[in-house]
Amino acid sequence: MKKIIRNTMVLAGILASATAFSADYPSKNIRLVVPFGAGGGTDAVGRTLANSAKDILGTNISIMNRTGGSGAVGMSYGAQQRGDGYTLTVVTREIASLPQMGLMQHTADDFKLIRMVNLDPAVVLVNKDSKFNNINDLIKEAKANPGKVKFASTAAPNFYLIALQKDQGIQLNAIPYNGSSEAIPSVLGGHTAVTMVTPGEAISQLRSGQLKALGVMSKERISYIPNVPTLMEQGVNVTSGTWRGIGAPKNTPDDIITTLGTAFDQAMASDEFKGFMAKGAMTIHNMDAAEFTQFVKDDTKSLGELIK
Amino acid sequence: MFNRNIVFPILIIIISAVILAFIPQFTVPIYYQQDASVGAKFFPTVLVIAQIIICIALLIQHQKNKQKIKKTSAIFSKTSLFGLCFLVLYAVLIGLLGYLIASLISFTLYLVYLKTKTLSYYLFAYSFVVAIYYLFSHVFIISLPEGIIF
Amino acid sequence: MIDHLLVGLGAAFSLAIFPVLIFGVLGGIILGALPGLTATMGVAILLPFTFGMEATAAMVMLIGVYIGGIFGGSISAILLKTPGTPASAATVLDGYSLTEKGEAARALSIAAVASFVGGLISTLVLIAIAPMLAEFALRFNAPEYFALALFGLTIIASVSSKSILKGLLAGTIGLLISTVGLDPISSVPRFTFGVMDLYNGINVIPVLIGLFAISEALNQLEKLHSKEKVAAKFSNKLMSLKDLKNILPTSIKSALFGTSIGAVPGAGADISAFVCYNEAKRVSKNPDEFGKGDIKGLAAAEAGNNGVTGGSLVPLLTLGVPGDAVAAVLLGALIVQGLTPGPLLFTQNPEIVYGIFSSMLVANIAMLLIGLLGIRFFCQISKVPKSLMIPIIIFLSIVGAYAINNSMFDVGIAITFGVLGFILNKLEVPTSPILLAIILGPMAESNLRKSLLMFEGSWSFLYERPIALAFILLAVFSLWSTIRRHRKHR
Repeated sequence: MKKIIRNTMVLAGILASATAFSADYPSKNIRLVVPFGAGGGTDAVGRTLANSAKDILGTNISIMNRTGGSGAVGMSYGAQQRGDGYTLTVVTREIASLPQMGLMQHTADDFKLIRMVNLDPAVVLVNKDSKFNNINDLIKEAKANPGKVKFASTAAPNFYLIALQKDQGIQLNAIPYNGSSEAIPSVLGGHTAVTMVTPGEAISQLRSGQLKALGVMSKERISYIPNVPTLMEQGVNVTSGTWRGIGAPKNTPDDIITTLGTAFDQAMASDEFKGFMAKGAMTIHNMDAAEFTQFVKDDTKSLGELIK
Repeated sequence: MFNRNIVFPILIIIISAVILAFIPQFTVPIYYQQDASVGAKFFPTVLVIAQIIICIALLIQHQKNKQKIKKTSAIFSKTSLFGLCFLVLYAVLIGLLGYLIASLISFTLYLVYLKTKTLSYYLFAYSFVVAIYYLFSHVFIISLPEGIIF
Repeated sequence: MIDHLLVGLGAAFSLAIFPVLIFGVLGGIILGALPGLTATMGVAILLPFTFGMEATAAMVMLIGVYIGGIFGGSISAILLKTPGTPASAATVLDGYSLTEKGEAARALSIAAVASFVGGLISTLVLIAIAPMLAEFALRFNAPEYFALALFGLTIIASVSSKSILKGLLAGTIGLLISTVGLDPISSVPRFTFGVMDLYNGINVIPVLIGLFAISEALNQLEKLHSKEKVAAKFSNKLMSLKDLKNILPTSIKSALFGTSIGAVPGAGADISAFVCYNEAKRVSKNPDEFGKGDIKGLAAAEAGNNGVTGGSLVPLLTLGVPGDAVAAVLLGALIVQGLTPGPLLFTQNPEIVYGIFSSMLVANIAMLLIGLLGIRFFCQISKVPKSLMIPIIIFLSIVGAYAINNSMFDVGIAITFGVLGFILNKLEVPTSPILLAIILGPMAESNLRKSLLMFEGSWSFLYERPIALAFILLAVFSLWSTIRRHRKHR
């Protein structure tokens, strides 16, 4: 009996020492915190990127889904981990919006941002039989009947919509659905008139023609849906979208950030990752640490103006 | 002696009353969404009131069927209290030592508590813990709890 | 169509696909049987591995995990009173009672057969009338979901056999718990006390683990020391032909119910199992036997939850919209393969569609065979001495509660609900209504408020929308028949 305990202790000791910190990074498995559930878009991007990066870094990257509070729980958790490079976090646009709404204590400043991974604009979508054919039809209707046009919102509040509403001085009846998988059927079934999602979320319906795109909320057209004009082309000067990137706790040493940055550059350039993103109609947007940090700062400011 | 058929509903009524006092204190977030005519406070309020009514009905029912009371055992026996302590201890140990070591220690403690002398039980227990550890961390690649110390 | 199916069936048995399929089903059964590990998780973990696979093989593996996962949850529900997934919570009611009578082998064989019937019929319906079902599903929106949830909540009365009042109390406790978190419409934090882990509300899986697994472990622990040892006579007898005749009509009906519920995005196997259980109890000649080991109750829950598998692919394949979390991963897997789920898939890649259909048929057969052949092996589990089984259940529960969201907070939730469940058992308050309420509460509340927003404050949707009206009438009818049954009983 005593022997068993002793043996177990020895075994435990071996296992513990194998995970101890060492200078040659990375020497053990890296955890990537995904602040959204298994099976969602952020999860899929995180898993695929981890899969591509693991061979480059020469270590396994395990995905840790930590959901709650629209991403707040996972990102706060990631920000509070040891800055040893073994816990990374997928940061999403919510890191810019939630703190300003009083729904999250940590901000982008609690992270050292490593790379932006993707940037997707929102697309304005209506049913194929809708009377709206361009963004101005929709705006005209909303001006004529304030608060009457039913909008299937993928989140509450929906910043894509608020950006349009503020700019045009219109008001839609925003009904908060739980993500695009509820909002899209609602428009398909004719229960709501319009929704805004990213191209990847609606690519099946766009290709089959079940949904009609009134415009894309980016500066330039998107290669996956080249026939859809931007809102700016139609005289509506609004852009909006969402982004994802990778961050590490803010006390992570800079050389580790550099190592990881280079590894993610290669991962993002890999055929596997590029193929995955292209097929899912998601846009890879690689921004380096400095550029990404500035971008998040700017986006935080512009979201702050929408929230006010 | 406490009668559980009276104490329990009264306890729930008290808790419900406390909850009812909490509901008006819900704070509206900084960015306020439009809301339906039935707001955030509606459901909890209705539920708490329903709960109180049900408890009162339970008390009345108990009063009516007083004769039918069966003999019941204590809510917490010594073993179930041990079980509860074991659970909490195990959870705390996981937080400190991580899954693998915490499980090995707790399993040993448990078997010692039951005064088990059969060696095969210990072997089975340890191989089970290690097998689960292996299955999760190497086959499913799900990260198991890591402790603060290790 | 038949040609496509035959080609698909040929492919399903090919060397490239058949092993993958078996791997998927077997893996799914194991994942499903472990509390806290769900089919969704299994499918999401496997997703990156499918990138390098050929499209049909990838889909076959993931669908195998899905089908196996829902059945797997029932094995632990029957043997250990520990449902592996919420879909098996209704299975516990009668399945575990049979195990207590020493009829575990019979219960497991009934579960396997009923799951097979559920999965098979569901797949056949999917093949035959998917587009029609999709049209039905699209008519569902907030008012219909609200009415469906309301109907589901009436089942609380029906599963509380001893005292309706205590059942209702459990229901309100569950509903109150479901209001914890950011409110779904206006993001008002309710009962969160500033704890961020509570913002998303209380996750149903740790609650399930606590209420069923941990409370049962505590309960067993207590019995361990008490003198009254239940000498469980163990019978290796499987189900009889008479059993089969008995459960077949219920299974077929539940399969059809399950398929329809699955076809509606947002309503899944957990709800379906309870609805089917309720329906079987309602039409039964001796409803009092339900909850005490009625094989029809077991079969209804099992056919009901596996019946969802075919249905949930309807919105995915016909509309390109995922019906539940598993379907969302399948959607991702199809898109990564360069395919377009939705109406285009039938015209552009019929071989994929029929490949999926035929492998679903084969996966269900594989599930049946593994389920039946495995009974001997599974039953060994119930021969493990109780004193060893208890800590194992506790360990699995804790790990499962942690794994679902990598959170020690959820472990705390599971333990809390374990203790709550233990106390409630002593007070003869049924615990399954709490679970049902936590699943249906948010659905009822958010959809009622969404409907009110859509109809600008008017309640007319309750009678203007035919499907919603139908469910409300069903709810009234279900409540009425339960109350009448109780009256008669007295």
